[in-house]
Amino acid sequence: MLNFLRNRGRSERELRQETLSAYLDGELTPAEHDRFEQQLAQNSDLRNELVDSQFWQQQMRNLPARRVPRNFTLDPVLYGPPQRQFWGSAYPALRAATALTAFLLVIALAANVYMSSFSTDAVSQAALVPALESAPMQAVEVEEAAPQEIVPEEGGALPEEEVTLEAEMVADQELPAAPPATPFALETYTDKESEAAEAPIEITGAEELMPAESAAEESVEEPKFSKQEEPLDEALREELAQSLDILEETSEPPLAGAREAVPTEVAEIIASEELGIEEVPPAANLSGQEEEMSAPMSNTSSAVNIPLSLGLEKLSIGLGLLLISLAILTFIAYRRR
Amino acid sequence: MDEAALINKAQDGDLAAFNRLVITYQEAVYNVAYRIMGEPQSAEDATQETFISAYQALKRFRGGSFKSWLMRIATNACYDELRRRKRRPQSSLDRITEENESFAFLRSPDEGPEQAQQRLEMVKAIEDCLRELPDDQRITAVLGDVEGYNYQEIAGITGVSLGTVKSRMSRARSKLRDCLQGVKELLPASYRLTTNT
Repeated sequence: MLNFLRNRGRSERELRQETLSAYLDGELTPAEHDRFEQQLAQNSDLRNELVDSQFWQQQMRNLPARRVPRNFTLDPVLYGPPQRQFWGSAYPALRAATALTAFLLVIALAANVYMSSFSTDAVSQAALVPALESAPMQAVEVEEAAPQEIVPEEGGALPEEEVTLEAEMVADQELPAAPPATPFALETYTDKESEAAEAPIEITGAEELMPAESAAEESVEEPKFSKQEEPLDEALREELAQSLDILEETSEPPLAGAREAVPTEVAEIIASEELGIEEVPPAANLSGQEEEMSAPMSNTSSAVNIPLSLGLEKLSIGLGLLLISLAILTFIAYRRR
Repeated sequence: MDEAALINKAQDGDLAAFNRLVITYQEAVYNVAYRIMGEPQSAEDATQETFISAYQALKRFRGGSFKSWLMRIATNACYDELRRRKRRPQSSLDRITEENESFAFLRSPDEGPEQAQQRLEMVKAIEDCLRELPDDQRITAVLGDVEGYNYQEIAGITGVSLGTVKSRMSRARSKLRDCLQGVKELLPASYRLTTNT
């Protein structure tokens, strides 16, 4: 069909010439060959044309070959191989280096993002520490007068460990039922309960000290508070438990009401023990303890995370620049290989 | 060293191996370029351009006939040279001078001067008639009738279909036959008889 379309618009002479040319070169199909030989047998002009075509084809085949006027070999100075060998051999290595750098860059970026989120948490924890310090300090300032009412009748000063333990208990805003071991702690704790109800603050670091209400009660019994329990007898424990129950029942007791809820007998009993609380600024101890406990934690984590994230950022930038350079060199090697 | 080994070494960057290939094929490439271009200077330029392009593209040669691959590059170089020559045509006087210098090789020691002269006239007539053909038909006629390539090879070298090759070949031979008809009649009968055998 294509031949039919191709032959449209062409004269019979042109078609005959083409068939003759193909016959001369042996390019006809067997059917076309037989048909043309029949035409040759019947047409003398066609035979004369064939003879002429064969003659000139022979003459052209016998054209003498011309000698080359000069050598066409390439000049090594102009077409030497070293440059091409360099780019040709460097291309696979550059391509592999580019892929590896891209992979490392992705890992560095992912690590940087992860470290940034981790350091953000540490910073938020560190930011909460001043809030934590301000709340107990306010409560302690209010209660400075309260400990003065309770004059220790007997005994001397309690060990400093007991004082620090009381400060830990005061720091727990979420545990209104935390049993204070000393009158001082009890007073401050009751005030704190009211303030905690007004402005509850979640202190995750303090939770490590007093994880839960029940645990708070139990913590009183832990060896940590064992020194306070030593001088207290069972009766005192019962009274303390009663006072805790009372405190739990009261939702937002006012400051004065909270004080009234606390049995004074308990305070007197506690005060009868050898407290020997000197005029030590409780706020300072409290804040100092809190700083010691919470600050190292946040400082440690932030101290570790900040340099690490900075290092990862620098590494990411370096890898990015290296990737760009390698990509350019790889493209040049690809074009010149 | 065989041709395949030379090609492999040349592909690895051995310029000396490639130059050995150049020496092997430069005469064939030059003659094709000369028949297509019709004059020596353009044929030289096309031949040099052919081997430079071949060296640069050698890594893309995937096997097969190296000569056919070279001829394809030579044909393209001739096309480029023809387009360039159309922009700055060469004077006919220069062409004649160059042709006279290159015909010295046609003389054969065992033929007389008359026969040599007849052969010279025949060659010049054929080359003149080839020069008159359109570029596409001339290239097809040179590759087919002068160099002996079949239609399939010509189609691969020139990058056209088999039907187009048949058509161009037919038209070229028809025009050559008409152009050379007068020359043939001037040839002595003895010459025609001896060359036909």
